Amino acid sequence: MAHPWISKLNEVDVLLRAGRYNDALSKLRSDPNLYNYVVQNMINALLNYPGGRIADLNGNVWSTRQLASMLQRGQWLPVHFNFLMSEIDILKRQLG
Amino acid sequence: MSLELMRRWVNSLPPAERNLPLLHVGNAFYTPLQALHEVERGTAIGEQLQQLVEEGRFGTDVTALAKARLTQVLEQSPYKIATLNRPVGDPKSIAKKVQQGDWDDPVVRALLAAEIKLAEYDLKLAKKFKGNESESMG
Repeated sequence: MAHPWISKLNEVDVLLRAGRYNDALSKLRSDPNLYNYVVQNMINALLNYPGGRIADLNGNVWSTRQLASMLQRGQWLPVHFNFLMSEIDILKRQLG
Repeated sequence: MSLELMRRWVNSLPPAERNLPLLHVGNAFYTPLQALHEVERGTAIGEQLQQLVEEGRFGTDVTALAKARLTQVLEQSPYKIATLNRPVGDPKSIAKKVQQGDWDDPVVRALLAAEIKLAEYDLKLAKKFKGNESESMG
């Protein structure tokens, strides 16, 4: 039997790929355990990201440490959704 | 391009180039090392980055890419920049002009053009590895 998080992760993934970031975030937040787990994984990924910096299309260069600390405070920027997509891919694979 | 060839491509780049933005997917620019990291993690973003490298594309227009690269270069540069007929400029004030899109400044234009050339060179190196892969398969 598939893990109960899988179907929700698939729904979030579809919304992300459609560029509907707010809807994806609302869907993820509707399960606080899943949200906390995913965000914790994102924070770990950000803190260990090669180079420690990432640039966006608006010309901003963010430190990944700064992005991690924003996530801890519940602040989301467009660049965070790239990390969310990757964490969802990995989590879906882990949960089978 | 296999993961191994991707690794060989990244290792073939000058060290300073490995940590500069090169490829754009979604909302972010990725450096070659970050692209390799995503490919190693087996993410969909990694697949898209690998495809860009294979196709020799940046995933965005070159001016946006050059702007992202130059911002990072200037933020880390301890050197002032001078030209024959202009006063010496410090990297932070030039970075500000880059951020504001002041393309009229000849120094900014020259630096952006240099970044575009370097980025194109980085991607051309990947073609070399991809060419070798096709030969060995054929």
